Amino acid sequence: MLRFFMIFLAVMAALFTLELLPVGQRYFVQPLTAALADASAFFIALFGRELIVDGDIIIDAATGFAAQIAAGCNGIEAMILLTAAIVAFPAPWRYKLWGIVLGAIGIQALNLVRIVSLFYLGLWHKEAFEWAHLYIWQALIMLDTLLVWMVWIRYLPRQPNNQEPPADAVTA
Amino acid sequence: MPSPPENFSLSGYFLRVLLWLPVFFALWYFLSGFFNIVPGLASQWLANILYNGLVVQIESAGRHIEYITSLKMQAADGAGVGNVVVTLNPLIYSWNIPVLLALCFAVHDSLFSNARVVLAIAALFPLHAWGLTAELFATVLFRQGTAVAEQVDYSGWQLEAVAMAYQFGYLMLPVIGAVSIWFLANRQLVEQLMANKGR
Repeated sequence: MLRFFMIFLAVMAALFTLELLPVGQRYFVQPLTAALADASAFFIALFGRELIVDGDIIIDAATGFAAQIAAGCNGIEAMILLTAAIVAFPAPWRYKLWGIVLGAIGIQALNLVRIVSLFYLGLWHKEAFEWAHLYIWQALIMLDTLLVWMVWIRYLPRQPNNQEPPADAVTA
Repeated sequence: MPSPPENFSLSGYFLRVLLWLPVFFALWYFLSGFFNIVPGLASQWLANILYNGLVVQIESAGRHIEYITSLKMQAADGAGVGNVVVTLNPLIYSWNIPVLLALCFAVHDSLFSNARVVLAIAALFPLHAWGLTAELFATVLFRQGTAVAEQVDYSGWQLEAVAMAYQFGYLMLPVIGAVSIWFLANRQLVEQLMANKGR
């Protein structure tokens, strides 16, 4: 357990610091957020809205309502947490890499739903938007991350008893 | 010690979490004044440890907390000088309370413990205090103008540390805190999940 938490915290701290550094912002956060804005705009437009996308800002042409995909809304922190939890868990690296890739896709898929739903909520009711934005969707993304991690554990291969690695990870 | 059920259903567990979630969100929102007391007082204490005498008093303002600081600011009409008051929304840090409650209440009866739930929620309070303290410092140093920021004698690495602590407290800590505490409070459940690995 202690080993798991130490690795989890170390990886999480390293990735979070990297996220905040200019190099992380320029080569990962900004491109991912812009791509997320484009993808969100695509799905919002499917429901008949005319939009203008400017970097990480989505603007509704008819009403002028604008939503910015800021830090905390791009799902990167959830991806960092998932990555740290997967890396810290004793498992073959091949499974870890698959878990990180598929988990990131799972998180960003729900994040797209979050952004699209928040955009429509913002058009409709400001207070409902604030509530959903600040509290409800934060909780759902957190639960999604936890669920993805637990599903990943379930799909790990069973090992012979004498090679069972999680013993020290959970009971030490 | 009660033993957990043999077959743990992940989908069943998360379904129960989702059913509990609206109940605890409602409870948390209406009791938020109560949930704010300990983190508010702890953040006042922590802020004054980090910068002696910064917070003179805290007051409850609905679901927000007002920090009356010792810093001075010119009134908008130029008529006089008053204390800088920073109003913060503690709910942006404490939304993990209903999530943790839902995660705890969704476990099988044999794994549930009232004492564990109370301890788990109490364990979140210091993390909320971190978030509030970091936001208080970030507000006076970066959002109230140079006249206020200059009164707090911070520079260089201290400003970087405040910015980092604020980002960490807002973006990461609510999730890490709730997940870690859930993990520790529900070790039997996690062990069961791990034992069922590959099924």
